[in-house]
Amino acid sequence: MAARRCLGLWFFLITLCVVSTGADVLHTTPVTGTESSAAGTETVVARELPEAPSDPGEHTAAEPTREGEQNDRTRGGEQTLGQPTREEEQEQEKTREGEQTPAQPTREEEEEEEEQEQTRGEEEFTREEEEEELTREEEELTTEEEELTREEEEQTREEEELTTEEEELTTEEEELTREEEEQTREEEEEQQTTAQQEEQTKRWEATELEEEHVHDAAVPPLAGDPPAADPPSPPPSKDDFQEELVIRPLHSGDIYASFQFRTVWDADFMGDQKVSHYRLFPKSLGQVITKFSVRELHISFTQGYWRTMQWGQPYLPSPPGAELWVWFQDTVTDVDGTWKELTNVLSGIFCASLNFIDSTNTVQPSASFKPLGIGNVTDHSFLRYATLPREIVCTENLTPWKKLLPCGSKAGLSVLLKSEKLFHSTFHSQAVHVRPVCQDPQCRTTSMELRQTLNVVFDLHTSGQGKREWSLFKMFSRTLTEACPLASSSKVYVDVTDNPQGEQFELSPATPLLTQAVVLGDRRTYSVYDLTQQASFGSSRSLNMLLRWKAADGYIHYQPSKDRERPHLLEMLLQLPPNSVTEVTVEFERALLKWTEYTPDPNHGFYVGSSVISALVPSVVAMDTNSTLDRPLFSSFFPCKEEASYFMRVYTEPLLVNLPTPDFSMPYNVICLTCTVVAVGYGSLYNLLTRTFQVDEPSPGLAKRIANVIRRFRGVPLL
Amino acid sequence: MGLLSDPNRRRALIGMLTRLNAPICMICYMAGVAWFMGLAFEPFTLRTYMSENAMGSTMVEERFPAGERALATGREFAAHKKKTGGMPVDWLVRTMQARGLEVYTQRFSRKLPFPDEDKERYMVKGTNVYGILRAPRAPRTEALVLSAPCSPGNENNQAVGILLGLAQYFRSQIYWAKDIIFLVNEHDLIGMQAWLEGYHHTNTTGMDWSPLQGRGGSIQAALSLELSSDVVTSLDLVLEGLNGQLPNLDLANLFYAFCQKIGVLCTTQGKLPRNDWDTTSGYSHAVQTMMLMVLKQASSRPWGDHGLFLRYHIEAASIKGVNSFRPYKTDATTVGRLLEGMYRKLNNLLERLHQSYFFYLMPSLTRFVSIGYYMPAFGLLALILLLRALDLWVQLSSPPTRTTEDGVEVVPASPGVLSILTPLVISHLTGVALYTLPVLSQELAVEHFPVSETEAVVLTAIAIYTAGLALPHNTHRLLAGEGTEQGWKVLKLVAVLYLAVLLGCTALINFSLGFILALTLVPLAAFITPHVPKTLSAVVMVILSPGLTLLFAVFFFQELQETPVTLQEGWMLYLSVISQGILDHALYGSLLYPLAALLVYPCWLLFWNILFWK
Repeated sequence: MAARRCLGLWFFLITLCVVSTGADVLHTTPVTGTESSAAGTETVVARELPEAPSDPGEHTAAEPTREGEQNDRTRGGEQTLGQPTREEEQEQEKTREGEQTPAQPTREEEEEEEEQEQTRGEEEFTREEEEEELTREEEELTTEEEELTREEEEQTREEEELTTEEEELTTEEEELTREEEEQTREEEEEQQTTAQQEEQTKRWEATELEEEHVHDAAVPPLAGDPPAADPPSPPPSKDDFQEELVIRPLHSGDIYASFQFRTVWDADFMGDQKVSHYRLFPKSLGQVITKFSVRELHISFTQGYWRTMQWGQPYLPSPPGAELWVWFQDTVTDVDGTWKELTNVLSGIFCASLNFIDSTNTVQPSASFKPLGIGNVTDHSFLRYATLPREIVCTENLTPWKKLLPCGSKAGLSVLLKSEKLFHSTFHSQAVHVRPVCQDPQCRTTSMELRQTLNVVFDLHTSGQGKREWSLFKMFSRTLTEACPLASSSKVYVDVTDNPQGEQFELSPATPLLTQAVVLGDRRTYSVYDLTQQASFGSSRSLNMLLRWKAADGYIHYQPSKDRERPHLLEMLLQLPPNSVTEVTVEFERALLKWTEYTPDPNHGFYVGSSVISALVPSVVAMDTNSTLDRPLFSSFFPCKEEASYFMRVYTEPLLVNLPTPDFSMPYNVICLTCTVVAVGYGSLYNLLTRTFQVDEPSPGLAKRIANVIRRFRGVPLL
Repeated sequence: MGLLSDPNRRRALIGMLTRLNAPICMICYMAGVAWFMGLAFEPFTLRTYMSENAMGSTMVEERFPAGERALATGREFAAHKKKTGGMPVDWLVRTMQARGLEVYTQRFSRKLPFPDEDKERYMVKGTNVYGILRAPRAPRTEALVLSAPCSPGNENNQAVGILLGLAQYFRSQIYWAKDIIFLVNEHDLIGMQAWLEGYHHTNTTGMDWSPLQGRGGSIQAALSLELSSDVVTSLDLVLEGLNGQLPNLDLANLFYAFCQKIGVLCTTQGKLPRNDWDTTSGYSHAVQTMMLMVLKQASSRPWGDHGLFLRYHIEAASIKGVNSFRPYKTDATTVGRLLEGMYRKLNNLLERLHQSYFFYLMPSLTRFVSIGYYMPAFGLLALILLLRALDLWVQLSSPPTRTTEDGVEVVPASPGVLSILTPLVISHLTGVALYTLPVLSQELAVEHFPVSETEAVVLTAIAIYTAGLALPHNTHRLLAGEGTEQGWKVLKLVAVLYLAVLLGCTALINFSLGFILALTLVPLAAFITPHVPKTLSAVVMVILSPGLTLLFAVFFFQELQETPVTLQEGWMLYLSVISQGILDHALYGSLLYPLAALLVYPCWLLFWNILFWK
């Protein structure tokens, strides 16, 4: 049993390495040996898929204009980095296929299509795996003899061993690796071509992000002062420190802040002479690097899981818990021993339980985790990789991490790093990357780069109090007052890509400085605040950026009705999220009309006219904006302002509303009733009021008169 | 006017009214009952006639040919229903789509407050399927509905078959001016409630339903079809809806007109119209028909799936196929033609049905009694209450002054507010308990007694009802001291006026209910004083109490339906009627239960209080 468990663990670690090959493909030389680990890979691919994608649909929806003259070579180069994203997008694509299909061709270009098809093929590969499994097997069987024999071999093996599933998995894995190889080859070619171009563009602005490219020509006209305002990178000094903060508002209403601190030092740790004078580079790390002959060191501490579905891709991915991987110099003889010592030392430096790394959780990935710095080392015996998923990250890890910074937490961006706020978030990840980089374009000499990154996602509901409003103070309970005096560059970027016209959120203080960068296969636009310039701080001497999401209904115009003069008018400008149902409800009261206002058929109901929806809809093909062209009449009525969208108007069905309707036979009844009341009531009342009472002597009747005559004769009293 | 403006004559009138109060009341009561019974006498009633011009002048030609095919579809439906063990949603969707309708479904779920033992359901989950036939060139502003329930077992398969057959035939016609919605609803009224709430975007009963994806316009009329046999001997028209609401009389007229035209036997309350009004049997037949309608209307529950439409001011009726032992049979094609004719006529409507009566009673399908004729019967009964109130008022305003020994006139002190208020409050609290506790305490009751939830609810209700008799009387003495002669008179005055207002309002909304309540409560209100013999009066009061009125009504109803029951069965029926009443209130918003528990019963308790006044 114990043996089997060990085996299981081994498989797991291996699979981790293979999965991430996509990311490292840039540096991979064609690998053929992955077949051995095939059985595990497929399962992991399947497992990784659901939790991946950034949202291509939204990008296309938000930026329909982005197409056309883009430098596709650069883009191709970027794709290699963006690759894992694409691969993982498919899960979401599957769900969003309906809405995405019209948008897709916008993104693609004719020139790009070929490359895209390449990658797309890979995407579809897993998407349609069930369908393709059988057909592919058949094809292979018929076309290639080698495969036939291999299949036979496998079949025999399978008879001995387990099920047919494994066979499918292995064949698929072969496919996968083959495709990867092809791709790698292509990408390497492209990479070479792009590299030259990159260098040209890089020259005028120091690029902080490795994925970042600046495109002069593509800067929109509203960037009145393009990044040329940035000072050209200073002449190579002994050491150099840059700091940077990227803020990206996420669609979920959360906000993502990513700090990057980069110290580059021209010292040669690998050389013979001992490095003893430290200025900006932290001595503690430098000594470790020297002592253990470390070529590259990557360590990350993460608390929380990056929710790709909601947040998109992070700038620097990291697994939950602690991750450590190190490339040693090839001069190291006892790698395992050095690794053991190194983990213990690092454990002390970062106050983490890295000392629990031992041979049971250390692997030497052969395909993944190629060196990120220069140097084409392929001997993976100098690589050690370990993760501690249970590691809990807290302030005791943050403090030593902050101490590595030249300014500590005293000045610059690092004043924002207050632990009580940083750990009051949904995601927190801090990392240290040490690697050798080229000193100049020709790469004659190398220098050591220390990159400290800290990524944090603040939750809308816990730290934002449910309000879609963010400021530096709200996020970090600090504002920025100065740049780190030791830093050559200190900038704050805010991702405003989804907000080109400022209709989604507003940013204050506004900055005229805009820059564009291609990140993760997508061109993003950023507002830049340069902290080295006093102007950024304004009159209040502190920078507290405020990011206020605008309400989804950007514009409401309501004109109440006046009875019998004008109707109600309700206009709303809405931005609708894709694949959603929006319901507009109007409450109303039924009222009696004046009796002359009823139509001859009042019980039919009263009509409420159709509502109107006018929309600019992203177009599948580029629209023709030139209205003077000779076009068919049916296609030219609505003027077209921009190429990427067309105008559309939808009318809803009219409504029939029943108002309270009096019974119109009632007047007859009412007339009858009032006549009766008047006749009886008024008659008697009039009678009462006008009657006068008088004492009236009635004239006696004839009989009485005769009787009285007789009585007079008889002498008795009269009647 | 002259009469009242003369103080002498006024005094004389009042004197006469107080002196002859009892005889006048007796006469009024008898006159009221006699008037009511006279309503069924044919010479006193009006013949039905079509008021709506749009439906009257031109007859349409019915051509529906496919009765046999419809029955085959019905059998297919039955097979699929059996296979899926419920509503065959997929099959229905496919079939309706194949007939060229826009088909949508609606899911709903509802947890009953306690299990319904009659229909054996508690957690109800279901799906409504409906297809809309879009009228050509019409702007989706008006719609007609034809519905058939998907009932458990072997019921109503033919109805669904004819519905689908009609859908197919209607689809190929071009004369439609209103959308026609063909609805197959599951779980009869619960499904209908979900669909109607979804359609009108209201939620009055806290039900869970998915919003409707497709709608027509405002619904002008609806028919619900129930048919369980391939051939029928007659068609029965059911009109009574929720809270005693009735559709416009023209809908009944329309049905009758087409039955006459096509030659189908048609009934209401299961009784054929007869012509021998001058014989005793003919008259009693009419009385039975009318009494059945009165009892059904008084029950305030919907007697067919159409019943819930009426709440939304949609004229609706149910048509039930009856297959009895009569030799003359009608086939499905004829039924289809009848429906086709009715829908074509409804299609011609320019306004919704409003010309004819909304308040009526029908002693037969050809005769009706309008509100103007039946209200006097109730008015005569209500007059008794007013006379008694007048009598009490006069007595209270001119108190009998007694001269004491030393010649000082002593006016008895008017009773305090407390002595009146206490019984009022206590009886109403008992009413609130009767309204709330049965459903709330069902779990407790089930825990402690060997009964099911439904029994628990019903028995709790009866227990609280009975306990109410013991609790409240004479509690006012604790607060206000000894009750006085004046005290009970004031209380009775209040109670009598209360009852008059209550019954008057009820009768305006639901005449039958108001009249039946008046029939039992008015004599009781008239004669009760503390001075009548206690035991005998108590027995009479209990017999005339609302609860026992319901019991008698149950027996009477069974008698009228010619399905008499034994005492035991009657009691069981009584229990189930109570549970149904509570369920109707919870599920559809029937008002009978709250009315009885919160108003009528407390009012009756006030009189009970007067009887035991000390």
